[in-house]
Amino acid sequence: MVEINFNDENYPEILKNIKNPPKKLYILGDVELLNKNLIAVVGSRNFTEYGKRMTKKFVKELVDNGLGIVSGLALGIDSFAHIEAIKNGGKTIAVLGCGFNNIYPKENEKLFYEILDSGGTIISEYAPQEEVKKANFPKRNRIISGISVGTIVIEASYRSGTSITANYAIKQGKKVFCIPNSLENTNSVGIINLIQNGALIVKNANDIFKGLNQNNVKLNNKIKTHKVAQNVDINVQKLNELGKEIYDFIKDNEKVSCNNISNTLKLKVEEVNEWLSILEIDGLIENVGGNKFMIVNTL
Amino acid sequence: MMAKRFSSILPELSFEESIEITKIHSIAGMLSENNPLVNIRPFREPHHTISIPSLIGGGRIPKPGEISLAHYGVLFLDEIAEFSRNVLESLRGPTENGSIVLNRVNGNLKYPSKFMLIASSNPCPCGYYGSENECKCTNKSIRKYLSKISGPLLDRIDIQVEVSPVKCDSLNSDVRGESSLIIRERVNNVRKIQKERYKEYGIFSNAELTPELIEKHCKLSDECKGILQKMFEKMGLSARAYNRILKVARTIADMDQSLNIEKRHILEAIQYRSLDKKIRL
Repeated sequence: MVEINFNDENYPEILKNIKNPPKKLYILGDVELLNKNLIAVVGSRNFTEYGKRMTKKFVKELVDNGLGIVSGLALGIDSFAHIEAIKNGGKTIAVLGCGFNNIYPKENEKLFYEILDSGGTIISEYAPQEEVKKANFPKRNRIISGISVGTIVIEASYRSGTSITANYAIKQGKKVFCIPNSLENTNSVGIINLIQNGALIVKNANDIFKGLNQNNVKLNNKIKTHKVAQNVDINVQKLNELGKEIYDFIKDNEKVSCNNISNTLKLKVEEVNEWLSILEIDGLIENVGGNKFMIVNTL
Repeated sequence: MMAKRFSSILPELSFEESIEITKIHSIAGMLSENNPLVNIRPFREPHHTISIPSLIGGGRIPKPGEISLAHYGVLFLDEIAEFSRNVLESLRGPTENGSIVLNRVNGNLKYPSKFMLIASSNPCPCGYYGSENECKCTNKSIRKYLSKISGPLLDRIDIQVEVSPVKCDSLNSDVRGESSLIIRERVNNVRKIQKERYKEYGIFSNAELTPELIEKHCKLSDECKGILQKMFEKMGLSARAYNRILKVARTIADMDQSLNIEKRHILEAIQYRSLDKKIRL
């Protein structure tokens, strides 16, 4: 473990500019990472399938573009942000609201060590023996947004921790990016509030980079990622005629079930099931529940 | 409705089976005067408020419960997530052993319970998960709902399929599915193949295969092993799903009248483990 004081050389520059910066940081893992270009990905603990899919999509795009992913090691969207960053060969930082000896929530103890194993970093402004206190968690959110160039909000209910992080980001003069969601979803209440207060709606990483550019953020300290091979196109080319036909059908129709495919394309159910498995193994399609399938990475 | 039709595609009862069912129903005092010999497969459909004794059998002088009344037939648990957890867990032993021992002060009784378990459930509390109407449940509530069905119990269910709601126009359509008679013909054929194959072990279907027998009769080519391996990594299937997939693939291969389990059989069988994937969420 490393301790960094405010006046130390390697104290992250970006964190010095916020109001009420932590006087001391306790750090596990790669200290260098703190001075790279980072972006916060936060969201609700009570997430929906949609939120999970969007987290996957955005984290992947950001990691591919050399940004580190910062989040709060909470359950739900936060966990997915960390996991996806690791999966895609990127770096991730978890900001805790308690000491390292009392990992909270307990369920994420495994993830805690996975982050460290993947070359990521864990930071906290609290000494290792500091206990879990409810009041400390909203406070650590200022570090999450403070250390990042911008904050992406996936799903947030009214007055949630996620909204707190986003509000810190706004106060710190940083861009907040929101992912559109259904009005009927309680997790969109926080999102709508943020949008009304000037957060940007984004549909992909490109929009995020545009927004950062408007905010005069220079990304000159990106992380060099060893890109995980993009084999989607290759796998599509490898399919035979029938496989291609089924793949294209799923692509054109968004969510389709095995029955839809077999009825429309006049194929036997067993044949369709066989191809669904092949496409799933190749990572081309995904079962989104209710036996419905969607193309991976369509947007 | 589908579950109710299920007994119509099961193979016909043999005379011995018929006598055995009649005996159980006689003990329970359920035989009618006009029809003293039970010659159709029983279909039992207990309500989800059922207690443990009425499901597995009980009373001061223990009477057979629903699982024994469903012997050689179908036990259908509608809305399985609504049953109380203890009741569901009591099914574990009987499904594995094919019988239940009831211990009372006045004596111990053993009733047979070889039934086919069919269960249905909503995908989430609001019921819309994965359907065209947007599901408004959070992950936590879905998880809580599905966790009623414990891993070990799910483990004992070979085939899990998610179905989408029926659309109005397909209810009115003239397209007819296959009749039960034709399907039953197919089932009988496959039964014959399996009976022949397992005659020396005293079992008559793939469902009863023990791990040693699976190794012997569900041999896989290296290519198939590779596929299963990839599937486990990719979709996070549980290790316990492995044998289930093999058994189902064996049955698909039998229906295809194929001597070995081919790649296409494995690939199809994988699609019938949808709950395994979901519960991990």
